[in-house]
Amino acid sequence: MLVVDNLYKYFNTNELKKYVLQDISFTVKAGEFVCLLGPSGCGKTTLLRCIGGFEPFSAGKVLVTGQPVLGPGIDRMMVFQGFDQLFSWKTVYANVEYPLQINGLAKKDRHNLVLRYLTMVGLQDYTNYYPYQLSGGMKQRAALARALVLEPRILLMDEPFGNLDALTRNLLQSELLKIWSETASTILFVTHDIEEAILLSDRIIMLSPSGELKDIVPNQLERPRKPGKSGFVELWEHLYSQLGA
Amino acid sequence: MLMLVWETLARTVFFNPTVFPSVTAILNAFAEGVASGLLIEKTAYSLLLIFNGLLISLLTAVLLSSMAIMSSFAENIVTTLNSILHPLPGIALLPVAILWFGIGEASIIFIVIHSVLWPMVVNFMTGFKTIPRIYMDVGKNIGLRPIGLLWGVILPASLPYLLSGTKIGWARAWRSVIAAEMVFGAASGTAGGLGWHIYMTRYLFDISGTFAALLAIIIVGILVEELLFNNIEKHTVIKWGMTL
Repeated sequence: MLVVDNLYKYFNTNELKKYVLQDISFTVKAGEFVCLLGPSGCGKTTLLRCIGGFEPFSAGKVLVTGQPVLGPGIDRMMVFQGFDQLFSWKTVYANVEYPLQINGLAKKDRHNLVLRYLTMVGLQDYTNYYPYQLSGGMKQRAALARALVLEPRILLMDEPFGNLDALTRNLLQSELLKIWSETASTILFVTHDIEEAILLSDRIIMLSPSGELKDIVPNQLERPRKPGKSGFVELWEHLYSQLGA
Repeated sequence: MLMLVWETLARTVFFNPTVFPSVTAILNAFAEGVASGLLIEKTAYSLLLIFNGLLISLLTAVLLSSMAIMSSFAENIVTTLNSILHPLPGIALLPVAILWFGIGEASIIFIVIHSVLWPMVVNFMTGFKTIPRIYMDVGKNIGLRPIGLLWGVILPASLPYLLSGTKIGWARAWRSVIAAEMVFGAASGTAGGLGWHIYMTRYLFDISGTFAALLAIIIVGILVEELLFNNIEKHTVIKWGMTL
């Protein structure tokens, strides 16, 4: 599905190369939930933006179903961290409908899809609200519905719950897992939160502070996962020691 | 209150009623002007010039500002033009306008465009530049390409700035059209607008008429502000929670 091969990103400063990402290679299989875990400033968001086609990279390859990534595309939909990603001049419904409209879907076909995904994220009663009338959690739900509605090959999520309070974050994490299993989506999810990575992912790709790939840790804990269940703490300790080193 | 003070002042012996007419005299002249249709005709004529000038400026400003955000070369040109032309008073360009466009509507519209365009460009460029990167990313992600991005993201996202720029443009247009008309008058067969009317009433020493024309300017200003701009804002940026 997604292949990242020997990807480098650097800036040239005073004849020195300043590396942001160094020699990153990994794959994501269809239907897999992979987390990119690393400390702040390690380049995980940059990596995700490179895969999304929002930023150029210096060397290497990014392939989605065999096709090289040249720019942003609807096969890779991004959900951002910021609460300001919804178009504030459109209602929740119109925000989710807009991508379908741009991509040439007839109005009656749009209606069913929009309602289906808004219901999936639990916003079916808020279709006529404007973004400023929604809470942060609801905004992220709407953004998720907007990304899902195009049925992308892979969903790129950049710390989408990072600005939420702990309770809302937990709720949205479990709902995301539900949606993931319902839609059989492929998800690449950036986070700096070890617990979040363990709760969500099938595999955890760890980046070091210098932007190198540190380790890829499989996560086969039984779902649904909870911090108290067996294996959770051990995995947490393992990831923590790797990150701290 | 203001009217009461004015009326009292006008009725004292200190002021000559010919040059400082009372409120009643002004209102009378205003009512006469409206009844005879003269004042309305003059106002409509000036408004038509403003409308033409504003429309051309609006489109040009959108074009210049979008070019400026797409290439730094275009941005340099636009900012340089802006710093050269923005401080130039429109009236100072009148001789040039007359040379280029002759005496008539074209010259007045040219002056209006000059007075309106640069403040609009400054506002529009600020608006375009302050669009959150996330909007542009989302726009590209869902499949919008340059023209679609302009129409679907850039313009609505910077609407608060577009509106404030247009408001400033409108006020500037009013001023410059009156000023230009006072110089051109009803030349080359045109009927002449409010500016010419003000000039003529003063010339004929109909000072109540002069003030009636000023009153017309004020009333139109309030109507446009209250009815047009406030309504547009109520149905767009305020409804969307996008006020600056």
